[in-house]
Amino acid sequence: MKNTIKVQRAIHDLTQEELAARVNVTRQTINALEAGRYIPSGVLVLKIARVFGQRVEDIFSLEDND
Amino acid sequence: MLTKLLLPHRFKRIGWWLTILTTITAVMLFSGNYQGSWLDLGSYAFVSRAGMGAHHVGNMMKSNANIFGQVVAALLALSLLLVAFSKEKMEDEYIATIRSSAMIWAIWANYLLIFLIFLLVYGPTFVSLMLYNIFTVLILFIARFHYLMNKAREEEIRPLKKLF
Repeated sequence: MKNTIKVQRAIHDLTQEELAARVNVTRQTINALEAGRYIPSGVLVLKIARVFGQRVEDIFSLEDND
Repeated sequence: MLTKLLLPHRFKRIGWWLTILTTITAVMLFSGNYQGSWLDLGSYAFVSRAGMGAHHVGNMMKSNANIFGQVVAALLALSLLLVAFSKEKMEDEYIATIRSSAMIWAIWANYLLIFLIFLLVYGPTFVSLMLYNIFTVLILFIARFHYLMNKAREEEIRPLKKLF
């Protein structure tokens, strides 16, 4: 699963730490998400989309091998 | 993984201290330097073979053995459980995934050890090794979990290291 969290963070001028605090996870989790090392739960996906005021599909998308 | 089943983070520190203390005590006990004779209390058991220093007390068996070894083993198991199943400072779903992966790895590795013991060890040593096996699954889990947590931390700072 691909995501545009890094781009969205830049647009909203948020650090990994700030986003992590907003969605109640560790900074490591945001880092792992951005690096594609971790597939988030549905709840976390919805929380991240809410922080950026976007639809889930605008931030997260499936890859061919998903 | 249900974090409801995990203990608060403060128990982790207690677990580490208890692990250190009980490990030192266990080493002293097995090296024969300290026997804890003040614990010559005997223990009650629901199930025990007659003889072997045990006699009937009502419906139970009572042995006259020193229970120091049992107390140390129980404390060691408890302390490892505290370390293994206490939350991290901030437990989130990524850590829960790492925890779950470490648990599966530890059970595979532990059963690999058990198979090796079954195939390669006989006699009283077999019984001793199976007793140690009570602790190995927890030790393997703790080692794997902390290794994966450190790896996650390193992967986080690797791009920064490249810059300098």
